[in-house]
Amino acid sequence: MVMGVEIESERFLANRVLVDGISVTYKLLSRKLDVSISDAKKLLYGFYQSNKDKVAPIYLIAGYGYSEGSEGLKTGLTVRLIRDASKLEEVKAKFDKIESIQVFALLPLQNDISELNNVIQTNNDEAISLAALDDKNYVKWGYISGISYTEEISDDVQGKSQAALVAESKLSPAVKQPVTAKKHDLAKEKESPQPTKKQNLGEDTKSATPEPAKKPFVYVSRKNQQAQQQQQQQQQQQQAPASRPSNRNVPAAKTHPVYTSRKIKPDKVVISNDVDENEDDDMEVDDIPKKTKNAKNNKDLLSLFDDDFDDEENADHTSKSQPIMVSSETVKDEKEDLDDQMDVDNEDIPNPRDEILENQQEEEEEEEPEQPKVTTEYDEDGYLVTKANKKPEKKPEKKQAQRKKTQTASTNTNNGGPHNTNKKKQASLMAFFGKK
Amino acid sequence: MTSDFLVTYDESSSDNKKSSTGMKRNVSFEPTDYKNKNLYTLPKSSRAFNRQFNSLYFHRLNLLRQRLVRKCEEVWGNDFVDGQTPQYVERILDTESNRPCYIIGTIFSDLKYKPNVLKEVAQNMYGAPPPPPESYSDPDEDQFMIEDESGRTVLEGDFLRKTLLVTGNVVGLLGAEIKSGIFEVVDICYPDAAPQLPRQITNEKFSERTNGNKIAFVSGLGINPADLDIVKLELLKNFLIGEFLLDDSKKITRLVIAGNSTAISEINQDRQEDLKSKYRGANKSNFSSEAIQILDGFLQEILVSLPVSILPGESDPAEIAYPQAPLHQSFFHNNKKYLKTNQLNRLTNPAWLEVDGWRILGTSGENITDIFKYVVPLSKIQNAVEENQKHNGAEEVAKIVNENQGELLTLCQEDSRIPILESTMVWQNIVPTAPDTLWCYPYDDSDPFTLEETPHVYFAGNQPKFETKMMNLPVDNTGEKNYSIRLISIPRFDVSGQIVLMDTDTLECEVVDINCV
Repeated sequence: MVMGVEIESERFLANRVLVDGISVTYKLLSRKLDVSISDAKKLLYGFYQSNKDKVAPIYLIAGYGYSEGSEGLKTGLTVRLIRDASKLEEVKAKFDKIESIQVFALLPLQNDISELNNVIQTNNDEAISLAALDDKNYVKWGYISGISYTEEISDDVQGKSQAALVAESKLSPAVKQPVTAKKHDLAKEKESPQPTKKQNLGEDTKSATPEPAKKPFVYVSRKNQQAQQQQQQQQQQQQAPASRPSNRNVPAAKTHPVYTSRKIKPDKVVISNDVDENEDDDMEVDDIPKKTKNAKNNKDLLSLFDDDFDDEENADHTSKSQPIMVSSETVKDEKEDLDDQMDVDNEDIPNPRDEILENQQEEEEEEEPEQPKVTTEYDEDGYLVTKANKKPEKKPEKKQAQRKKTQTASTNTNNGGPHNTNKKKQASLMAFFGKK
Repeated sequence: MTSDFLVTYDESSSDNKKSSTGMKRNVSFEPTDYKNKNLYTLPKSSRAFNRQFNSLYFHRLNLLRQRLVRKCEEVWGNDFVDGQTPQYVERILDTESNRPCYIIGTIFSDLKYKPNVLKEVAQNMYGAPPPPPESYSDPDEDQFMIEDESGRTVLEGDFLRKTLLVTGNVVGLLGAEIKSGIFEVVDICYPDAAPQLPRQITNEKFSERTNGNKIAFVSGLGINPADLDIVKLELLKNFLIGEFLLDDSKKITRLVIAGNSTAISEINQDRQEDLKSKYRGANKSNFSSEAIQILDGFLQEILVSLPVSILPGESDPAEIAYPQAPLHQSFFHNNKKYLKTNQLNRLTNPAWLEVDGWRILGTSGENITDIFKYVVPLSKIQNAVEENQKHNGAEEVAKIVNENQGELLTLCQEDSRIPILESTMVWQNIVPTAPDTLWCYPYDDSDPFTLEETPHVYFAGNQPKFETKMMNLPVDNTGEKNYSIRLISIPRFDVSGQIVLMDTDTLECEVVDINCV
């Protein structure tokens, strides 16, 4: 251990434990000073020896032949964390053979030792934020280093696609690549260097997207900034077209999640970008905007389902089949509101909803809410995955369907008596079962 | 800096000075593809849940009948019952009155407290099923039957009280029909043991493995964000990745998590308030996403150093029916780089593994827990014992115990599950009670729960306590040759703080106790 480390440790521990009154575990100390856990434990113990009246240690004892009580069965390896240092001798006496006694953590004296959960949680959180969990660090900290998982991949080559291999090896730049995998990558680069570069770029942009996607969850006062954003947009539009490509990435990423924020969890979005795309159908989430559109449709779907089991629904069937009329003014208002919310450069990203709205204005007809196509399929584990596609149904079909509906509705009303009586009978029969 | 008081790894063991630079973990030989790897994986696209279960029973009967006919012939072929040689009657309904014979069929246990959907319908009981009883059995009213394609006959005889029989067992019974439709049992015969493969040590790569390897088994982590014991989990993690600087840690070559990694959170109390949308409110899951995130984080630190195999359990967010599909990959967001590697194996429940040449079969323990409910309940026996102790001596008490599943009951009184693990090996079916009292997929043309290969190691997770036994399963009637099976009952970690280490050289097991005082 370098002398400088000891001084640094003294300073850190004194500040943290004595001044700030916060506990410290060997794990945090190890990562803070970038020393092995063995050294960190020794540093903790050294600090405790020189400050016995100010700090309390939490010991960890490991050994064999531990017996609980007078008739307790002796077990194999036993590890005990001792909250109260005064009980150390008592616990030691229960062991036949002690392998090691270590200082797990140091607490300021006034700290409540019963809150060990908090001590560990806070220290772990800090420790994880300090350094990455990878093989190199594990070796440095003195942990047991296992087989690098990339070596496993090289064994698995037969069953996997090359793209998946490349993707996985790129996920862990810190891990040593096996020789075979390296050769493989080199060969591929020689063959086609440009595509790999492109792929890298693609991955970079992909990895960059989750960050803005998370923003809406923090973002609250979007409405207040709308005016500013509109001004910015206008300025951007007035500028030369050469500046647009650079703007494309940022505002697009910013504006899309406006609709995702309340419906889609950020985790799902992140997963969709990273996991093996060749095999995991269910992990693929196409684009964020798709989901946002579907979110509204899903709501409509749910409300549709709500009505399914109402027995009295049949009585209102004719009125429901008629299309809902909305004036063109309200449609225009809606469009304006949408434009205000979205802040999207209309030239850059075509808005399918606008197209639909325009069509609606032209035809001055009303349609029922869009029904997303729901597809179900099995993923590799056999889980049933349901996806809702945003593609709206073709207009002519819808029109025909509406016409048919209105025709049937009108014929029903024209025919009058017999149909209605049948429905009443059916309704009463269902009501009979429903009550049961 | 060092003192006599503080003993750390590098000071206590002189032969190992690696802790300052890091220790290297032992390596096991684990093939990426092996026999029965996907035995319990359901077909991806053609899962049909609308089938009847009878085909599963008949397939099981057909599989084991051939083995039983041969064995029954060997065992009873030259015996005499009432001076007559028993004959094999192929159809149960063809048995002749008072003529000794042996029959082969599937047991049906009609126990007093066993859930019965027909009874529920008859009693007009609808809605959620009642909580499962502690035991299905009431020895005074229990009834056993045997059935085959032809029909069903009621079984009688003191022999039955001494034997553990559960629905779905395929057995041969020696006896005679004493009344119409009632078969008196004299003896019982179980199927021949399926062949046990020799240890798979022929592969070239096997030489790369190290000696003294250990597999760590843990079950029932029971991560519950509402009541999280982070200390135990932290200690377990630290032990596995070698933070305690113990020699045992580096010998562990794989961690097997045998189910119930997360706990089911309390039923959503606010459910009534969230019923604006009747489906969204009613379908709220009791599984906590936070628990999964904690599990993911827990594995994140381990996986850097140690390969992990994880089975789902009944309290995990997986399918409820056996066999359970692997935990979904999206649960392991922080470990996605390991998902397609052997470093993180998401297994079915039950599952086959192959480590260092040993063929290992394991479950998360639901099968064993369910079979235990067929054992005569302790309270019944204790009441009878107490009653008899007042009037009779110890002999009478021993007689009662002996009359009620004898040795098995005595063991089970001590919370031992090893006899049940043994029984499943003898029955040659690891989940006989599915689909009767344990939900399972309606297999149409197979019964993967029936053993067609005897494992070297058989474990069950989430049991009351750690137990292990080297079982000898006779290959034939001579008893000269046996298959050795290492049985392991893995305790729940959240309760016991214990994990099990199995040596892959000797199959010896030891328990590691991790706790806080």
